[in-house]
Amino acid sequence: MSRDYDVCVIGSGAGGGPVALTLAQAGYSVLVLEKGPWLTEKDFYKDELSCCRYPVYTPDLADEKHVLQQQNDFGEWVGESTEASGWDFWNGNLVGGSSNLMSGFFHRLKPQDFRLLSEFGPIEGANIADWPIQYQDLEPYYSKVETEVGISGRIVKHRFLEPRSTEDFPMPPTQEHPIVKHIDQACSDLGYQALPTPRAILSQPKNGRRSCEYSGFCGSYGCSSGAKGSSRAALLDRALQTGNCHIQADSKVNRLISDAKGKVIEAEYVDVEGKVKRVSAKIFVVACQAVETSRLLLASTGPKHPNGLANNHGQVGKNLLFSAGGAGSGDFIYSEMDRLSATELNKRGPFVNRNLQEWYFIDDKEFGGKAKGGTIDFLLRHPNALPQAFPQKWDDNGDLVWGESLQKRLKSAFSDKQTLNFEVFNDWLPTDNCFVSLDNTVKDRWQQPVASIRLGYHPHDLKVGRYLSDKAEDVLRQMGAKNVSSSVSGSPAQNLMAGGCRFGNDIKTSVLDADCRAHDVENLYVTDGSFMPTGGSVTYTWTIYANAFRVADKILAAL
Amino acid sequence: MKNNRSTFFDEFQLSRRRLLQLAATIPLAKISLAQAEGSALSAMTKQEAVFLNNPAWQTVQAVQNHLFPSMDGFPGAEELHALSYLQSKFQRPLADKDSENFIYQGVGWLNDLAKSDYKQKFIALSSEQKEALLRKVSKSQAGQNWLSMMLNNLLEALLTDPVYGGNPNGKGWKAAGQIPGYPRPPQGKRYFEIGYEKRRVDTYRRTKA
Repeated sequence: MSRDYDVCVIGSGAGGGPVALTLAQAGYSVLVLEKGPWLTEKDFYKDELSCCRYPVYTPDLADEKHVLQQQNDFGEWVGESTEASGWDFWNGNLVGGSSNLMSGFFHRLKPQDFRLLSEFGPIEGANIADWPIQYQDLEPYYSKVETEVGISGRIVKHRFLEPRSTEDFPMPPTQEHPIVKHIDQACSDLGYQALPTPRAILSQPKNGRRSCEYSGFCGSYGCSSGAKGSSRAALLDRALQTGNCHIQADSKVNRLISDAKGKVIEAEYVDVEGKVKRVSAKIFVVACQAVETSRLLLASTGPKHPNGLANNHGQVGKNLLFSAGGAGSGDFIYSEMDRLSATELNKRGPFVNRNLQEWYFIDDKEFGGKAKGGTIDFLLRHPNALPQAFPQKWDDNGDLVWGESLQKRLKSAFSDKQTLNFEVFNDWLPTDNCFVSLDNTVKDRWQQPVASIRLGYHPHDLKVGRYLSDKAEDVLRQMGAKNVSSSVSGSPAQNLMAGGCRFGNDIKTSVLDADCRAHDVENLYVTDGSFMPTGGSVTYTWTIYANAFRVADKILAAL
Repeated sequence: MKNNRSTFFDEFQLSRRRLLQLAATIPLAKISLAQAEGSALSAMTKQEAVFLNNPAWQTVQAVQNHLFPSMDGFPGAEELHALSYLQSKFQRPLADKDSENFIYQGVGWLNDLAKSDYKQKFIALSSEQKEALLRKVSKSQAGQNWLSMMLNNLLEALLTDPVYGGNPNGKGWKAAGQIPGYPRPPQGKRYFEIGYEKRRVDTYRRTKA
């Protein structure tokens, strides 16, 4: 039977790009369906309004939304539409996905992250599971991402450095901000080893992409030089050059249609004019980011899949992960330092390429012995002026400030100090209270049920997050920072999501097999972060890229 | 604002809908002329003239000038073109009608209060009277929301790219001490001319045609 394409990839972000590139380069015909618009370097500017005052890279919440379930004071789970709450759960719906908008701070997982249960044992109330593959299975692909996507950095030996098949990164680190030497000094004083942070940002031109131009507006902004290693700039643009890959933007897949044998035969999608269309392929690859991948499978019922595609054991959407941890900051007041130091600290553009993995594994009696810890990353406050300005209109009593006092506050907020932020990343333990389901009462603009997300967390996550945040605060104080504070909560960072379709060896407890193919759908693969049974204590993107390259090789073998 | 962890949504991203839900607590006093004319704006003829001739803008301008005066080293609302910045928002495709109406509603309320307290319209009050009245207004939730919206728009006129009509020649950036990022957005690539915002406008035009 003839098919429109060999492979249909749904979603064009970090999970979709590696598959499209690998298969197109191997000569297979590939269709990439992307819900969002197709924007390029020519559309990305340092605009205070397009990021993030208006939904330019994500849908208007009146058109497309989620339902978020949170526990109230009585312990009941209560759902609220994001249209009502304004808590936007979209992360970047455009060709290349949210990898266009990342800050590109990249870490590999460590070998122990692949066997969290075996290494650290069970925790009550958490569904911790070992992965069906090991670090060494993924290592060649982590290396591949360094060259294919372009990761800049510098390897420094440290006790938790993961094994590598290459000596160092393919290009040197991006330029570093003068504040880095103060971080290094403070860490050294405290006996900690500050590590250079690898970044998916080019420090040298590559494949027609320019190197970083150091505007300082990186996270949340699309990259106008092409230096940021988005799936679009680094992979899809090259997939297109093969002539075998077709990208269809503005095309939202409603459901996958499966036949009497349970195989997927077509994707049904709605185009920009609202027309419903279908496309057939031999193999379907779903990579819509964790929540939407689960939503799509749950919405795709069929004769052999009455509860949703690959959901005969009720596992789709379960064990959703975010990244636990917290965030904090400290101020460096210019009037308290000499003019030269102040000018240096006020510099805009270069990166704070520093992180601490000193406590990636905790061994501390005060904490309660050995435990999985996490990563601390340092970064400057974001230079978009509006989010800095808006809070200035409130005084400490919660009253509005205007007139000359507002102007003084603005001037002070912008010109009197530099702010160094830190972010803590530790494992978000999988639990029965964090999952995706369909909400049949709330619909999107195409009358499809939206994803409902229960946002429960495990209290252990906060304990680890607090431990790490205290360490990070120590570093800021050692640096002489003022107004040092941090916050740790169970409120998830929606841009750091994974899980929902875990891979494993048992169909009763997992959706995908070790190759990220659905256990009971022979031509369906999932290649975004959904496969992860546990998330590790770093941002996910490098692992998603690496795993998608790994699965692409499995698909090649299956074709 | 998203960095790596966007843990909290804040007022910066507070949904318009929620703001308007709060606004709905405004006593529906006489919204009178301004509101009536506001609803007439959907008529296609002389749309712009009707819009700009709305007397509510005089009050808005007076409020803006009071909230953001011209000070030594700091441009005031007028120098920032804050009124036309705000007006231009509502003249764009798919402009936010609810927010526009909320502005008129607040103006009606402000003038009602001015008349009951001082027997005059807001624009006729002395600086001290305006201050006292606005402080009084800010004590109610709805009044606070309205003033907060006014201040947000003033801050936008101060700090957004001059391509949007405020911050002429970057004088707002300079006064605050902000260094803009490059490249800066040109005409044709403003937020409502790209991405989902553009798609919404295109869809609206297509379905209307």
